[in-house]
This record gives sequence, structure tokens and C-alpha cells, in this order.
Amino acid sequence: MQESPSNSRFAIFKAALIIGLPLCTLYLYNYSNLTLWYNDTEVKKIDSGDDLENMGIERSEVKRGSIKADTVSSIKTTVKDSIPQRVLLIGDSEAGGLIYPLDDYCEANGHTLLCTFTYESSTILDFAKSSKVDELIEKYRPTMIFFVVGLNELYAKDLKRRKTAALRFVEKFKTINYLWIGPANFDEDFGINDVFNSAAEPGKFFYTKELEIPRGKDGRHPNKKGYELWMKSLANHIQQSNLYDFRFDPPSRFDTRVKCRLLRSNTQNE
Amino acid sequence: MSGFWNIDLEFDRILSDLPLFFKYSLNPNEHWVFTQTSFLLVLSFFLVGYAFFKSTSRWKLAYLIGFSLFFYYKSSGPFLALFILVILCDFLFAKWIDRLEGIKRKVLMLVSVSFSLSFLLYFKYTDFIIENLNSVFLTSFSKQNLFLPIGISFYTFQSLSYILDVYRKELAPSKDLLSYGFYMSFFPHLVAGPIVRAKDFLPQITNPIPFTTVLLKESIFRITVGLIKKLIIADYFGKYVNELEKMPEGHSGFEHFVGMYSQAFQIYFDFSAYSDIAIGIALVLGYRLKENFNNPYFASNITSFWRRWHISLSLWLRDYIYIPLGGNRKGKFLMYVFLLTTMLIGGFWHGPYWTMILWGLGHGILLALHKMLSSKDAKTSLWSRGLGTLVTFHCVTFLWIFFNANDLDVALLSFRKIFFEMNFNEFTFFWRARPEIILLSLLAFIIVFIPMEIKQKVINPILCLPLYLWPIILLVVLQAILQLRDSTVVPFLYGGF
Repeated sequence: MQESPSNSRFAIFKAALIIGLPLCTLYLYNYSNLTLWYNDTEVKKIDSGDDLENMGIERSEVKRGSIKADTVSSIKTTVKDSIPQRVLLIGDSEAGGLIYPLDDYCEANGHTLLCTFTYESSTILDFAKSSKVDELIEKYRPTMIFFVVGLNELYAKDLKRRKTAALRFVEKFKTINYLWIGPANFDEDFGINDVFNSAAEPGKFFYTKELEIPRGKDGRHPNKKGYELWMKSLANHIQQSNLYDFRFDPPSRFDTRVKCRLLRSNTQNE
Repeated sequence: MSGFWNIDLEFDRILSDLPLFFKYSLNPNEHWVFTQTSFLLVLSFFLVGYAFFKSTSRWKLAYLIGFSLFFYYKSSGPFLALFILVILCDFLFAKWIDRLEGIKRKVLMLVSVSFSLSFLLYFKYTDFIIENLNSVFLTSFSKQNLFLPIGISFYTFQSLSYILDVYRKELAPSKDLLSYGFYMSFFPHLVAGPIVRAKDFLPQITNPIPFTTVLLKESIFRITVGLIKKLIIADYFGKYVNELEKMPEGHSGFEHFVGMYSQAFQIYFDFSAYSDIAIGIALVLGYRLKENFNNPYFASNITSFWRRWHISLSLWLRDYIYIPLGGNRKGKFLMYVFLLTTMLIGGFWHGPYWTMILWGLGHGILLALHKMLSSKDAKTSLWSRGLGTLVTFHCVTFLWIFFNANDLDVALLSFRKIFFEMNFNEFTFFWRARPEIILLSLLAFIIVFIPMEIKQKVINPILCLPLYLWPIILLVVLQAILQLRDSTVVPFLYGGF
């Protein structure tokens, strides 16, 4: 049966209502101060408004890949007092690549890399809810923590949620000195670097995205040379900053032996 | 209960978010696609306005073109100008070609085809050419890292089919720019097809489908199913596939084996979801786009697969490359050569990578082999059809490894892991670590291999549900998607072609 044009128009109007009503409901909920729970599960919002400006975070002017890591020359200084540090390295899969060059730097400067914890495929949300870091801090009592995360959340848009998690996570360090290392961006992020920078104490976040680091075959992680160059840039940052009261001169050579305990976990296994 | 009434809307946030909506983003992960809630919300407002126009009104066309161009602008920004230029030039070229005869007609057709192809070649293949020149001649030209305008592969093919149809006198050129602009820019097929032919689409402008309640239910059902296929099924498989891609050497043979099926399902559910939503939205607007998928993995041979998979592209390649080359008119040997050439071009169209070329070549070889070995009179039993389906599915699935791999080394590594380092004993460990992938794969197998008739029996009662239930169904589906997915939105795979 052929429907009349007015019926046809009415059907289009009904289509608009069928699509529009649920969407309006979701958006009203998104922009309201209400948070609903179903049993213990939060009813999630669209999170469309999580841009940095709304969160009061300034977008950094750091340009991705603007500095070629292999052109950065090592800064060597012995001016600083070298108080031996008890070092902990924690982070996502990129932390796994930093283990060896970090160990070499520690060895060359009299510090001890106590333990590393590589939490594969993790994000700041995983670290915030994991008790593993608290356990490690309790057990090893480090004086310096290197923390690298962000590769798995470059496209994250729920920045408010991640800022809350980042603030909660950084509280775990208490008075321990730390360097929060941003991810080696293979693509432009949606602001996660700036969120981490705002959560860390001033000067304690390192924008890795500024560096152009040689990549491994997977195109996502740095290769061996890349990790060494990255470590060199981190060491330079430490040497130049007055927040870190220890020496971090480059080692004479890099090798792939470590004495510390290497812990690995995966978000999928938990 | 009183707390419930103390709901405040954050008007400041709404006001500060509004200007962001009018900004474009060239980031593939921020493209304004059908699965974004903001798109669906704006679509509903757009439909309210659309309902006021008469079905054949010129203003309705202008309104729809305006929305389509805004849709394109949101994902391509300044490249909208290029799209408009292509539309204008094609429109004028077609009119001009129609007036000429003989060699002049042919020359102008070639000029027009070269003009349309030049943009595709420049934006899509420049870096591929530079990279290969550098490796062959040891030159050091630097790569351009050009932005690939959204939908350029699709609208170039549409523009070519229009020009070639006019040249072959199979289609009269569009008399007015509004109709032609509408055909090219119609947003449901703009980003990732289906590739629509002018001769199928232009007549619908003067004779649109009356939009009935039955069609309304069908269209909303298609949109809802598309959202589930893309945002729940395809994206979940996508997460696992991405894990493999991140560190292919760090995964076992069994993980690669599961990854191979995951890739096959991800690609199918992702792309068919786009087509479902596109067809559903077009239907609401009063236009019917042709089906792009017809249970492709159920095909019992590779020829049948290509009649069921990305149908609009297969037909395009057949009509504008394979048949003009000579098709099956110049003997068997040349037919095989033409098949290989057509599929090589098809592979290269998908992406400027050697892996894509190998993927196309693989399909070309399989098609030629099938033509060589099959006979027209052979009667097939149910068992042989079943075996054919199994073999075809696995051939296609193996070839997806090339399609999905970042480079040839990764593809070869996957093959090595699957064929030489496979250990089925790992199933128990895998099941413990990732039970959801196994369960989802089983579900996908069932969905993919159930015959269409049975699927229809499941769909029919759903389509009979009263209209007032549909907003609730859509709300539940959208909220379930929000609950299940993380914040990472995987762009439509074909949106990048």
C-alpha cells in the first residue's frame, strides 16, 4: 500500500524522535551533576565535554617529534652531590624497554635499580586501582621512582576520569622523589600528556612526545637504540633540574644485563 | 528521592562545548562518523527539518547537500574545497563529453578520468612511490606524509563511473548541478561506500521511496544492528588484533591463530556495520542504497565470495576494469591475466602497501584457479558445498593477514607462527587469559555461518515490535555500548581507504 506524502513526512518525524529521544537522554545525563549506579557499576556518561580547556588544563605547546633524539648530546656533570639512590621503575610496556639503559645509568652513578614492574597494556586507570605499586614501595622503600605510562591511552577522551586517576596514583609516591615519563607518542594524543603533566608536581613530568625516537618493527614502541636515546634525554632532564639532587652521568657503554628483580604483569591477566 | 530532583545541568559546559562542535578535525580518531553520539543527535535534529520538505522539493536536495557538506567538512576541513572542485569539474566534463563525438570525445574522457585520478594518486600514493624510488634507486627523497582526504577513494570511483557511463552513452549527463552534487555528496555513502552508480541513484531523486512505518522499523533496525556490530563486536576483536600488531613477535602461534580469525571477523563486522548504518540512514531519507554484503563468509567458492563481499566494489571492478580489459572474450589465458590485473588494482586501491598488492594478487590467483578448475555443469552436493565454504573461508582468512599487517615482515611472521609454531595445548592458557575472545569468536562464527533464511526468522519478530519500544531499545543499546567499550574509539577501517 502506497502511503501518502504526509504519512511519509510523519514517519520521518517519528524516525527523528526514535533516534533523538535516547540521544537527548544520554546528553542530558552527560551534562548533569547526576551520577547513576546500577548495583556497584557506574552508569557511564558520554564524556563528550572532556577537553582540556574545560578542565582548566593548559594545552602544552610541545610539538610532537620536534627534537631528534639522536641529536641530543649527553650532559655530563659532576657538580651535584651524588647521594646513592634506591630506584624503582614502573610503567607500561615502554617501561620494559627502559629497564636496561636505566640500569646502566644507575650502575654508572652508584645508584641501585631495585626492581622494575612492567604492567603490559596498562593505563593510568589500571595503575590507580592496582595495589602492586603500594606493595613495591612498601617492600623496597625507594628514594627515586621512574614511572612511564600513556602509550595505551593516547586516544583517550575521558580525560577527567584519567586526571582523577592520575592524582590518586601520584599520591602513592607520598614524599618519594619521582620522574613521570610521558609516552613516546607514535601519533598525536588527545591531551593525555597534558593531563599527566597537570597531575604531576611541577617539573616532574617529562614530555617524551617532543622527541623523535627511532621505532621498533611494531611501529609503536622504540627500538633498542631508541630506548637508549630516550634514557639519555631523561638523564639530561634530571641533570638540568634542581628537583633531582643526584648525579646521572652517561655510562661508558650500554649492555643488557640487569641484577634487579624484573616483575611483569598484564592487564588481561587480572 | 529528593536528591533526584536536585539535578543541575552544567550549562557552562554545554555552552563551552558548542563551539567545539563546529570545528573540524583531521585526526582519524576524531572523525565525525555514524557511530558518534554527537552525529546521531545532530542527525535526529536534521531529520526534524527534513520532514517538513516535500519529497521531490529542490529545497530538500539543497538542505541535504548542505548537511552532507557539513558532514564532510567535520572530517576533512579544508579538503572540502577539493571535493567541491571534483564535483564541479565532473559535472562540466560530463556535459562537454556528451556534446562531442569520435576522438575528441575519447580525449576529453581521458582528460576527465586523469583529472579525477590525479588527486587520488597524489594524496594516496605519493609516499608509496617515493619510498620505492628511494629503495630501488637509492635516492633520498623525503616522504610527504600527506593527509588522505576522507572518502577520496570512494568518491573518485563514483566520479569515474559517472564519466565513463556518460562516455559510453549508458547515462545521460545530469542536467543540473544540484542533482549531481547530491549524488556525489550524499553523506550516507560518502566516507566508505557503498560505491553508488549515478544510473542507479539519480532516478531516485525524482522518484524517492515513500517512507512507510515498515521502512521506518527496518531503517532503525539496520542502524541499531550496525552500532552493535561496529562498537561491540568489531571493536572488541580490534582490541585483540591491535595487541597482536603492537608486538607480533611476542605472541605465540596459537595467539596468532586466534588473531587470524579475529581479523577476519573484525573486518567483516566493521565494514558491514558501516554499510548497515549507511543503508539505514539513506532509507530514512527516502533513498535505497544497494546491499553491499550478502553473507560473504558463507560463500562456497571464491567467485561467490566476491559476489557477496563489498558487492559495490566488486561490480565496479568488473564493469570498469575487468570487462573493458577484455573479460572472458579473449581466450582463457588472457581472462586469467585480466583477473589478476583487476584484483591487483583492487588490492592497490585498498592501500598503498605491498601487503595490499599481495592481498589482491592472492585473490586474483584464487579467482583464476577457481575459473580453471570449476565446470559449469558440475552438480554440487550439500557436503561439497560445506567443504567449499570451509576452504573458501580459510583462504580468505589467510589472505586477511596480508591485508591487516603493517608490513610484509609482520605478515610473514604471522604465517610462520601459525604454521610452524602452533601448539593447540595453549588453548587452556588462552581460555583462562582471554575467555571473552573465544566466546565472541564462537558467537561470530554462528552469526556468520547461519543461513540468511534462519536469520530472517529471528529478525522478523523484532521488526514487529511496536514503535514506542524502539527509543528504549536504542537507549539500552547505546548505554550498553558506553558501558562495554573503553574511551578508545577505533575508526571505521574502510574510512581510511
